Amino acid sequence: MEIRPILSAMLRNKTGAILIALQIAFTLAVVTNAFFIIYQRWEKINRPSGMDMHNIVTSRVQWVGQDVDYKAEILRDLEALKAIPGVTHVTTSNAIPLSGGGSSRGVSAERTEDTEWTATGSFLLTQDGLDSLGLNLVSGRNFTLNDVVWFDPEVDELAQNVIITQALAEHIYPDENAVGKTLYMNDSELTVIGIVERMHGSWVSWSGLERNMLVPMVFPGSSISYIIRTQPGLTEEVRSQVKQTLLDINNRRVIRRIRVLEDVATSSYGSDSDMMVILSSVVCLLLLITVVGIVGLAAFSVNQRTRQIGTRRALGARRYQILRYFLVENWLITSIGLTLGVLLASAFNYYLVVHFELERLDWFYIPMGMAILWLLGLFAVYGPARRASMVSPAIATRTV
Amino acid sequence: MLLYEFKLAFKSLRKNPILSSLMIGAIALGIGVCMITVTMFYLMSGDPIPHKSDRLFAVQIDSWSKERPYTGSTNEMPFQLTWPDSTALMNRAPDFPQTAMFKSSMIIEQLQQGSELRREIVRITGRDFFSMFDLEFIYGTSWTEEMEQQAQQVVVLSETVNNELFNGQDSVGESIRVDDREYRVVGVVKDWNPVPNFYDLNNGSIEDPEAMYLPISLSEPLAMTTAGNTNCWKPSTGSGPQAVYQSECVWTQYWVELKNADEVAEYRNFLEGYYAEQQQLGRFERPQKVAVSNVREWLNINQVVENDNRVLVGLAFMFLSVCVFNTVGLMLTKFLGRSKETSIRRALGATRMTILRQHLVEVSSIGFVGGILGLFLTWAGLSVIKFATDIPEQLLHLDLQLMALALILALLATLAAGLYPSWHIGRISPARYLRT
Repeated sequence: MEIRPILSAMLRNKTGAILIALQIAFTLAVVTNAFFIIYQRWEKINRPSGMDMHNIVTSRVQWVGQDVDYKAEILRDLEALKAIPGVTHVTTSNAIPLSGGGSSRGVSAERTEDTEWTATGSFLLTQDGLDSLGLNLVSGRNFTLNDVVWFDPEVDELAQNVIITQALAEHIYPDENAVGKTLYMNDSELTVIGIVERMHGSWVSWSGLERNMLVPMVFPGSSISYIIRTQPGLTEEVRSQVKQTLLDINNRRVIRRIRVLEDVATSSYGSDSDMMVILSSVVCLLLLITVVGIVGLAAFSVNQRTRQIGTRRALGARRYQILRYFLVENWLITSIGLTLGVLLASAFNYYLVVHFELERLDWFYIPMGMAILWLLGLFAVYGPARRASMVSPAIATRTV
Repeated sequence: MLLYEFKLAFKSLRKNPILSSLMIGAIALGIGVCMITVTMFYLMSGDPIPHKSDRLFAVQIDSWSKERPYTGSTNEMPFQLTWPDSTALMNRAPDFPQTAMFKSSMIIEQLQQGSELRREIVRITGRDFFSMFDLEFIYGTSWTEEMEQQAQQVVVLSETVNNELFNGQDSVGESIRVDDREYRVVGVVKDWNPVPNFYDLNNGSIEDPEAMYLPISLSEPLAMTTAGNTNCWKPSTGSGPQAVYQSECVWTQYWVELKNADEVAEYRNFLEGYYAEQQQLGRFERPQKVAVSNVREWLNINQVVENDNRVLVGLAFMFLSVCVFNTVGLMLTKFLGRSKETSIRRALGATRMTILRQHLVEVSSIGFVGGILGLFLTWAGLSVIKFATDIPEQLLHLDLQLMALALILALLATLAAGLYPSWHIGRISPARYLRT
């Protein structure tokens, strides 16, 4: 092929080629890193939470008044909520998973002077807690009514038995069966009675999201959350009845945030999905700009070389050879740009890793980005190249 | 002369509408993308209280456990104070405007029961708060020193709540119920909602304005609970809402207004003395460490500008550079396209300088139009983002400075793009195109 003449022609008119190569290089750097971030966010949003996201309704209740018998109120509420058609399980909770609000405690397998306490999400639930969240118990046993402690400041008794997530179990009892083990939390000693496969805690951007501890306890107080599991398909119907059901029992309170758990998650992952949307738009616009740039410059160079093209045609070059010339030329320029782009993309990624705690770019994003830009380059240059191939040989004989 | 050059530039822009609009479009798009990210960055990193940010100081005391430092903050000190420390500071610190505070979730209703219950976020704070942070009173004033000391049940309402409960009338002297207790209104302030909400960054840097303000002297007697973060390294003794008031848990913010370096030194001195004293009493088992940080320093310690925000700005500027390369190419195309004309002008006596100048004028015009269009794209983009994402509105509005920045950026970018093509075209020899 005519790579040599193409190269020497390019060297005679470097500027255009350099400009396109630079555009391609920067585009590759942006596109690979943006794709990488987009994919990571997608993965983050879509990781399994361990809970029955679509069939859980959550709500927060806050009472007003000083002499409320919270325990009696809550027991009545649980009864009434369970009676709503379509509801299968109900529990109280101190916090709603994935909501951004919750409680975390330091726990450990031992207690010594230099104990490393592991920060762990803590959820206080009733005996129906696991079923209400749709968690999968993988070993040990579930809570029973006898495990549940209703906190009373006069008695000051705390729950003894806890169920922990597999992630927490592996963290503090590596290579051991956690069931039956003692779990230390500050001054209290708890017993692990069961392990659930997976459960996401309160804060979606926290590294300890999967480390959680379920405690069979209710703190009757001026506000509490309810977690309501429904039969599939009846979630919306149940959701619409929660507020009235609770207000009918006692209207001296505010029932807030009646939401399906899936929607709770969507709103907590909001900044991640926003980042995905913004980055995708940036990538699309950038590719558009790059294509327009290539088309512009290629069209110009075809224009400038109309006479040479005519001469080549007159000397016997076929149309496809002219077409090929421009495609190969563009391919060469793109490749030079991509070589530079690989360096730029890696440098940019290195910068992001060092300064912004982002992860290292997976290598395959680079060939993927390169492939996209090669194709895009050929697509962009095809129009002008085709026009070049249409130049009539007779042009060569014309004077300007 | 300049007028003539503008005329030429305008003619040339019109002569080649496709190339011109491509150039303007590329610059506009680059500016648009950059300015959208810069707007979010700028508003997030902006000074929320410019006239006072160097006089307001957040107080930190390292009350954490001796085994390990507090890990959540960049200066390894808890962001908040314990209740005992807050009380001690309010009672004993040198006499500067200062206050401890926290937010609480409360239920509000009109005095006569039966009206709708509203759950609101309420700030529990001292009377100095209003003057320190420059809240603007519409009616009445802050509660008095005396009311605070006697723990009277008084309240300062925000404008929004006053509008809803009292139809915006002067409600001073009226009463409302908050968590089933009667409070007398002493003042109404304009909604106060700085971005970022530097005074309490524990639950994110953007929040809705708080509904009302209650005296902090009421908090312990009424066992008010915080709706913000509570961090503990040591279990509280006892349980129930009162226990946290005696505990080593940190949950109150503390701010002081200090006018100059001397006052800062005096205050810091007091804090160090307090730290030493408490160490003697057996509290504070870590090496002595206290901090007073002004608003800017405080925003840094709290890492208010998110990484995502910075990454986007970086990407946006790379985007702009692609647009600039693109424009260089297009300009080169355009300028070389009229080599003949330029060559004739040169032959007729125009100097290189004249040619260069004329092209730079043309380039600047493109930059200016591109900048205006870019501003429009920024505005449109911000509106789309406002509509399509959860990014708070406060981060998505353009102010005059940002608009000026957009135009300057557009001019700079276009000039950078136009410099080489203009110089290149200036070197055309007068004779070249005169031959036939």
